[in-house]
Amino acid sequence: MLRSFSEILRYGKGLEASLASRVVMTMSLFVTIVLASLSQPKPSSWLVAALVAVVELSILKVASGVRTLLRAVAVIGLFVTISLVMRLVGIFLFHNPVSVESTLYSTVLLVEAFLAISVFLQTVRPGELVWLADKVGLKRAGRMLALVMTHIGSIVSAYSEVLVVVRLKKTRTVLALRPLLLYTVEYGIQVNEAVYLYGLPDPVPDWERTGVKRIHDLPVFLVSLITPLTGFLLLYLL
Amino acid sequence: MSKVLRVKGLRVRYPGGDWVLKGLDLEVGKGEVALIVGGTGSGKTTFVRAITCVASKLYHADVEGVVEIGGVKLTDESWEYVKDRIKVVPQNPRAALVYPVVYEDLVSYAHQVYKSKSLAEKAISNVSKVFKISHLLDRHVDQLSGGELRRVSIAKSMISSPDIVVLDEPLMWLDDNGVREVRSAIEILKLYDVAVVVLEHRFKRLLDLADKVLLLKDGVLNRMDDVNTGEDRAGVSITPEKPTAGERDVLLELRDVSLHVGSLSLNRISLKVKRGDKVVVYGLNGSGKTTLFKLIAGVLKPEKGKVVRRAETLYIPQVPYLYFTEGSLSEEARAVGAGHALPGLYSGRALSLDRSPFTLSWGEAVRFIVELSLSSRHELLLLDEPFSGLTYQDREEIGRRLAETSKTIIVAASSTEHLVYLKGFRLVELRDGTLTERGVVG
Repeated sequence: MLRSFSEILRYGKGLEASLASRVVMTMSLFVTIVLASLSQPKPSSWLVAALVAVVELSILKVASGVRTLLRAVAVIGLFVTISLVMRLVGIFLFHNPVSVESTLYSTVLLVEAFLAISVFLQTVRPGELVWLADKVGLKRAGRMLALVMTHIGSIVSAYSEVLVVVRLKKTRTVLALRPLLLYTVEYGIQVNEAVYLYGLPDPVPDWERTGVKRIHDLPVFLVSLITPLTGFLLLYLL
Repeated sequence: MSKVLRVKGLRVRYPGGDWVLKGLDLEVGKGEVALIVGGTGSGKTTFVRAITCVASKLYHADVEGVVEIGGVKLTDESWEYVKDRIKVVPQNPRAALVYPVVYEDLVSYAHQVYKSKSLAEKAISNVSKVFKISHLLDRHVDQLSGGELRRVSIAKSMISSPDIVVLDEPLMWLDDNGVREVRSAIEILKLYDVAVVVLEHRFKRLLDLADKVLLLKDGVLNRMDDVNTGEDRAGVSITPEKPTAGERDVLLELRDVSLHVGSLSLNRISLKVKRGDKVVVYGLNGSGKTTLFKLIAGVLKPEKGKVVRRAETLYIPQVPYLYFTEGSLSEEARAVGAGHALPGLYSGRALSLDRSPFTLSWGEAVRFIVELSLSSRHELLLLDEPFSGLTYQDREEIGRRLAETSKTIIVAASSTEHLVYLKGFRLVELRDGTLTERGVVG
């Protein structure tokens, strides 16, 4: 589960489109979700939610493949299902005034918001993310983010190893913190030495670098324009 | 041959400690490969830290003696001028990557060196061709195998066209393919007239590439002229499995087990392990050996099929320090029901049982855990790559102890080099997601 979670939040194979169009695309998804959340559940709002889901899933499929797509849905679905169940129990047991349909509708939008975050992280290269952080005055935070994104996999993997040890030794789970803490410190020392030797260079985003899939800016911009516009029309004008 | 690295009388000691290096001399010329061998804790990494100012600057160690890089005497001040002439590929090559996508990491570093995007791209294009990593540039570091990661790191070290490349334990964790990749990278470095210093305990695979072999022991370097060049696997053969006599309990059974984790698939795996069996699961890095162990341990659940385990099981991970959960060696022994064996556990070794397990050297840690597990209440032992990071002597000792025990053992191995220590073990190969019985290691 941890591995799946880290995989859906990291850069995939990517889309060959400019950074601007990829950022605009994610923003348009968020705008549509916000528009939908301002509306009461009705046939047209369900239609908008479906439209957002189709766009998000299509992007994820192109950017990272079917397996990552399914993993994203499964991981996010699990967390959201837990919260949904709790809310439904609340409705039935405590006569919560919120209807079942509203609860389901807000849950769908919540899943879509998580998917939009996943779309952003799957399509924007970490270096570009750091570059964006630089541009908004978060240079130091951007570097830290890059280091975390590079090394989190090792730490997660170590956690998974310690989990096996602790479970089989039948010792207290809290004791897993000891090897993990020391491993993390030791790993940090190694990274520190490497940073001393190689430096902590500025990101050099490559706007023209070719990816696996050839998708031009125009269709990406079109999708970014059509999605919120259609949402607005369906929700408020039709 | 002009000497690009000269070290004379190098002495290093960390604050509050004894001298780790006690007057070390070394000269390496262009295109020369110096192979430095030595056990864990012999000072190999300290040597690397000393010739890159890491020891003095980051660890505030006392460093005495003379180090010259390309004729420039190394001091904390001169380091800035020579730092691009000597590059280190660390023991954990991943630590040297700042950005998670290979291309981004290389291009940002190259840009830092050349201050020009076009020159940076040219440098990457060159090293990618030379080290054959063009197909890896778009990969995330998590998607690289051990050998690929080393090759990427060696390519990164070559971006600044250094005179000297230092490889710290380059074969650590590598399977047979990874070893071949590192060997080919060293050959390329040699071809480009780069002085290469390799620090490695698993040295037999590199002997033919080395121009000189030196032993780091007691803080000094001595030339080794009579090195055993025999390949470890030379004495290994696989014979068809003999039928085992007598009825024994089946302690572990995997029935048509399938599981998908990330890009890894295990497909309809079946395995039966009886009490007292000794099994080695051989497979390249990334073939799924650790995942298989997690299935056996019950941490992962199969999507299809069934795992039946009828004995208490203990898992010993690749990194031994991840095993330790207690504050002292004696507490570790008690945690696995080996308290009764405490007096015998360290006979002949001058180690206090009150000592924290995290202060043990790698070799000591592995030996301790193996001894502990053999005296523990657990009947089935899962050892994930126990020979990595060990000297040849330690490997032999551990192999002998595993062979002697009556416990049921499953060992994961990614290198045929390790099979020589597992004679008499049943060999099953994990490849392309399936498990195949190969016979008995002889």
